[in-house]
Amino acid sequence: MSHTENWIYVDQTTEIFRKNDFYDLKWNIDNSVVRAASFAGPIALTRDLNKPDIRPLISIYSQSGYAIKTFQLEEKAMIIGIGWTSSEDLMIIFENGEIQIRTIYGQLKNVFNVIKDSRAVDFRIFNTPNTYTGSFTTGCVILSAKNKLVLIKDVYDPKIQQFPDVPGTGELDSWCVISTDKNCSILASRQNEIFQIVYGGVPQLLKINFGVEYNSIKKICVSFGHDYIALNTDTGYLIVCNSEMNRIIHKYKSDSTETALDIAWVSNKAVLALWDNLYLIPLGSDDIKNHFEIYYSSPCFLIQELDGVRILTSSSNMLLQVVPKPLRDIFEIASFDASSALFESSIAFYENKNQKAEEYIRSIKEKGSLEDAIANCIQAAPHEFDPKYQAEILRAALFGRYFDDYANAASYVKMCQIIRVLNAIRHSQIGLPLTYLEYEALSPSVVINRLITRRHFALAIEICKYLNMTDEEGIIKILSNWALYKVSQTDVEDNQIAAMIKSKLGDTPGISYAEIARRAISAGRSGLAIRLLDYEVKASEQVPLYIEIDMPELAIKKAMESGDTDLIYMVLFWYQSKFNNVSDFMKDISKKYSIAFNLMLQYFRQKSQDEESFNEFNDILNQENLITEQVCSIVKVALKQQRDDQKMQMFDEARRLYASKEVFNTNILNDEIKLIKIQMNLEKNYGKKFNGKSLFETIGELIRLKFLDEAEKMRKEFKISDSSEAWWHLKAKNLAKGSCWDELEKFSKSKKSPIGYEPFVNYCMDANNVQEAKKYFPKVTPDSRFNCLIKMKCLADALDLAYQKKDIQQVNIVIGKCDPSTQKIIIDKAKMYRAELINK
Amino acid sequence: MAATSSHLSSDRVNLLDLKEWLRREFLSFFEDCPGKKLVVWDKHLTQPLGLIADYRVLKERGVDKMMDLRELRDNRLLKKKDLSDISHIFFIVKPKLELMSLIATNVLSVESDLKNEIKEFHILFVPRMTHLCEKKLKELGVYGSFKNNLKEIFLDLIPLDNDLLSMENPQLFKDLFLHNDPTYLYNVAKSLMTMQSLYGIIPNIYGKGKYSQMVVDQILRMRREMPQNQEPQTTPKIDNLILIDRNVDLITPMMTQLTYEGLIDENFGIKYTQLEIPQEKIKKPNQDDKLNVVEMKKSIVILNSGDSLFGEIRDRNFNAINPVLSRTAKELQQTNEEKNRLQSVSQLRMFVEKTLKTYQVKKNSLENHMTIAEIIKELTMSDEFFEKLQCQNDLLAGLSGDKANSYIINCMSRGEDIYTVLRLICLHCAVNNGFKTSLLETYKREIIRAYGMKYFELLNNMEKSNLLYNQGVKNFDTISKKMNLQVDKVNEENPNDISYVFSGYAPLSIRFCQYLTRPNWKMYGDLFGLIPGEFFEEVQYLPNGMRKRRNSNASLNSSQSGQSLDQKMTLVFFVGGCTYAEISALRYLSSINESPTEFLIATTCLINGKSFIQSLEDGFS
Repeated sequence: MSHTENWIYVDQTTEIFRKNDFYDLKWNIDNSVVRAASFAGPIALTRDLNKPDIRPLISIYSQSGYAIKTFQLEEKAMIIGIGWTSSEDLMIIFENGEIQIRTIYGQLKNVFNVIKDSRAVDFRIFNTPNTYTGSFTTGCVILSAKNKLVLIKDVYDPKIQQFPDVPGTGELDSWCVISTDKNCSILASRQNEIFQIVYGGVPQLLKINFGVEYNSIKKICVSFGHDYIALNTDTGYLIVCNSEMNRIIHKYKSDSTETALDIAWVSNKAVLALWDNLYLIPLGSDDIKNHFEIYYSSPCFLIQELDGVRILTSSSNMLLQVVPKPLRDIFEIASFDASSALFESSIAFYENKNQKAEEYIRSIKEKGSLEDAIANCIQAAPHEFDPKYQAEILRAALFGRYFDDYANAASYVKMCQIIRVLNAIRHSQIGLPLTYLEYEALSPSVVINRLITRRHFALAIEICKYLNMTDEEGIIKILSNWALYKVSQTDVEDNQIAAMIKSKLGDTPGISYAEIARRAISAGRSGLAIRLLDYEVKASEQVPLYIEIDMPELAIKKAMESGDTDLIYMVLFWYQSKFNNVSDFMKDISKKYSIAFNLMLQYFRQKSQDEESFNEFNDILNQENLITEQVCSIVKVALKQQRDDQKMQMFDEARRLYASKEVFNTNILNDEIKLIKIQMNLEKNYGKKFNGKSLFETIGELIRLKFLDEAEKMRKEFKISDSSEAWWHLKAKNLAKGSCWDELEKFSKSKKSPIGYEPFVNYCMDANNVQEAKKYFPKVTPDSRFNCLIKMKCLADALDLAYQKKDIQQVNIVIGKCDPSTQKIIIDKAKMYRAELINK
Repeated sequence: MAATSSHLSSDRVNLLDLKEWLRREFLSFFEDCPGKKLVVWDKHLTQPLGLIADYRVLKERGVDKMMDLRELRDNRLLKKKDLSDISHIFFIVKPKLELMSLIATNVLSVESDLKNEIKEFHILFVPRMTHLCEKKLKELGVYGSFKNNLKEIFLDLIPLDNDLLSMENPQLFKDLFLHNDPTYLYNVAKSLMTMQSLYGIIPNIYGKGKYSQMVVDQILRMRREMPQNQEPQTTPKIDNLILIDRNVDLITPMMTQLTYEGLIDENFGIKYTQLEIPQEKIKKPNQDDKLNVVEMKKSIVILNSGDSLFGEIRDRNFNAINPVLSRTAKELQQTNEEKNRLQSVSQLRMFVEKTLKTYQVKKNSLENHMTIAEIIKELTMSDEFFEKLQCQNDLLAGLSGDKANSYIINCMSRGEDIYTVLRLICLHCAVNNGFKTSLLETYKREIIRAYGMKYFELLNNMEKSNLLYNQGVKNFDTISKKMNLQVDKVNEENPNDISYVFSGYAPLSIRFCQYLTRPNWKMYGDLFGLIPGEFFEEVQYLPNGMRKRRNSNASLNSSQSGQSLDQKMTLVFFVGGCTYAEISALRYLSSINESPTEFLIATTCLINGKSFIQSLEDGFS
């Protein structure tokens, strides 16, 4: 046993290759088509290609040969091929141009048709590398029987695009797709012609001279990064060019003139071709026949990986790759690299207990290359597949660090973590034999996705915790998916699943129970959905789902709890649609949900601004016994009427609504009707409009017009006491306003005024009549006299009065009222008085 | 008095942050769309949005034209000719159904006119898009015309000053207290969430009234629903939140405000910090004034703390602003004299550079406020004003009891302003803890007799929203005594109590805040129970790292020592509106030296008694 045991040395090349056996497989792949996704993806197997009359059966295996799922398509159909997307979904291509995307469990995710008037005869699935993110977009090109090439650049966003036609007629011998993020093109060959067909461009006949005899090109194989291609001619040549087809890189002549069964690229360094045997053909040698033969047992399938070729046979899963440089540096025979010396010295120290170990180390240190040696060991370890060898190399790194004064543990620790994860996922029960480079290219987050896809939830969680991943990338995603998976387990009872999910997920922030419930609904398990929704905290998520499963009570209850009326309205309008008419609906919610009822009332209230909805609203008010609001709305309309009789009619209608229940409001309406009647009479008799005036305004107007008898009649009619303050104010004010001075005087003498006589002075002054005002001044009470004098502008008298009462405040008021330019005498006098009063 | 607003919170809770945030949100809608834009406004939004970003800024973002949506009707629909060079049409609206119809007719008109030309239509809903609007747009057949361009901007609580925020939503009180429609409470809660996202989770919440409780329930719920990584990552800048339902204290809004700003609002109405004085009220200034005051040129005056003179007098009792005005006049005169004494050119240049600009600004401000003060003085000197105050005092003292107040009755027969009358009646009702049925009916009947049936609905609405109600337990007297609401000796010039804002009455709402922020507030618990509305208390727990490092135990009690270093920050939120007098009272509380807290004030609307009652009228919006 040694680190280099599986290394393959090929003549005339500087590269060394290695072949690693991952798993022993026990499966039957005779007469089968086997397709695996790269990045150690799942394997699909079918024996039912090109059989029109059966329902094809497809089996999915893990890389370690564990059967994940076997399923039969729902309908009889002829499939021409299967393949995988970069997100590990199975693609099935049908002869009728249909493409199905299915999960690894065979569940249909999407289906679309790319050909209308023909049938599909061939296809290529390709992954476009994104230079910036390092991710891949899976696309597909279908060749129709009419030689049309249909492009779907992204199968998850299927937009059908047409390539320009290949010039000429007749079947194509071979073709391939070269797709970068800049453009997408096809190389197609018919007999000895090769065309380059760029999407959106004009087809070009390529003028390239391979310098070999051939009649046609039988197979074209594109490298992983779409930068090289390998062509197999009918004369047994294998020619390697760059993908622009303007540079020939290598030529190989096989002994066989048969078309190679399969061709795959080994990291742009070599091509692996399958004829009667596996031929490893390294690039760059001058010998046209140079190759290394690898024996295998038929049948055999090649899968191109990022840094190697996976070889699947009926008994094994192997990876052929170029030996990574760090490993070569350590283990290549006669390596001069310091890491090699470091490794040797650690072996000498730990295994052979050899004293020279220290000596070795010192010599490395003296050369100043200890740090590089340690770094290289750390870099090399993850490329080993055998934990025992990984440990040996890591031990060497550790050993070196004992002598390194500047040792930093970070990179060592990080690499140990990665190796642990890699080993865990490579375990045959998991079956994800990723290389280190592939792991790095995918990122841990995607690796977690792949574990989730395979339902290795427990391991996924362990890895998340171990790598300290964020909740969004890790725990939340895993738990949500776990729950979604549980929901689909139809054999377990609702209660049990809900309880299980709740106990696992708890209140983990970021978990959407609504999302899980949604899945339950689409799986037809509304009972489970109800239970799950109960755990959801966001009402805005709950409510639409309650609506979907037709649970009005819960939907309304949750919406109301949220306080978000927008949400409540949404539910209510949905709920309303269950009723034949608005009135039944309102009756229903008024009993059950008062807030909802008020909201709907508001809605109809606003809507009633439109004429056509006015009656609808009134009906609701009537039905719900909201009579006062109904009366108000009628009063509102009544007030807008031009004609008195119409107005009166509407007030009467309003009054009848009360049906003598509301005595006070009924009386108010009765009074109003009475008032309008009187106003109509007055208008008839005197030709004066009283339309729209209140009772007091009407009486006031009558007084101003000196219709005192009419005013008196109304006073009695409406039972206003003639000794009330209100009456005296009303009458005095309007008599003064109407300049009815004699009548005012008569009125003032008719009785002792309940409001005193100051208002008389005020009302006269409102009309600017000092003479009349003075008539009432003597009757004014002493307390009010100062104010009256000020109002009557008798400032000198006011000043004297203030002086008499020794009131400085009032003296100041007088000063303030004086016009300094014309009443200087009063001001001076006032100031004198003020000084005098202050001194006292 | 040191209660200038510049003294207040701006360095502790900087409301500019909120403004900036809103501004960025708002402008991003235009920045995301290249090309020229036409903006069609719901004109109710021009003022609030104008406070966030003015026309110049919009113009820089390609807004070429602006129109008023409500004018684009009947024969004046949007047509092709309005849209030359325009690639985007933005409708900026409140989520109202009638506006959706207007938008739809315009969109259809443009589409039939344009045929093949492509214009993008957008609706920007303020503050949010609703299902109802969406449904309406679908019904009207224009939903598809907007593609993905139905957006919302949560602009609701707008900073009006460095310590004041308002939603300026007068309809809220009606919807909530009359129609029991809690729609806007959701917006209140969302606004508070926005505040918390900028200024940190507010650890202590207190409240009075059922709608305040609903708001708090919602913010607690919203926080629960919030993903943990979206929790605000700031230590709380605001320590306490006090929410008060307006109907907890219906006395204060009915009282005539006697602060300078309060009186301005009572007499002219202040909208979004703007005062518009009717031209006819502006008189020629008195020739006798020593300063050469010229006539006020503009009738629109901006009222905020940016005007330092206004900042100094806004919260003063109106009787105490004269000293400040004359002091300022003197200072200006001095500056002026200084200028005349200047000899050399360089001295003059120094003066021009340093002093002249502030001199001009100050002079303009002084002119404005002397003019305004003059007009207000005229009004406050009238008999009616005096009698009204007299009546208020009588009512507060409980002199009218269960009898109709004769002054109020006389006002009606004299046909005085109805809102003055209604305010006094409401005050009577609130002080009396309700009316006996016969008294309520007397007042109502007299109102109809004096002012007519057009007030029938308003009276019913006032009754339904409990501004007028039937008698309950009489306890105002007890509350008033225990909370010292009626204060005899008021110093209007150098106040020593909040009661200065009403010359002797301390607003109940603010007294409540004052007691609640005292370290020993728990001893007032029974007292708080007497005031209408349920009292409640909530604590929002914070992650360890987010707690304040002071010697605080996250409660009001901690500042026992009363040192101003440990002064807390309290946000008072009025659900249903608050008056300028109440704001002044809170500012006064912030300003006193040993105050345990500073206050930040937020309200659903700025109100005065008149606008408050008007908000219950039909057709009000």
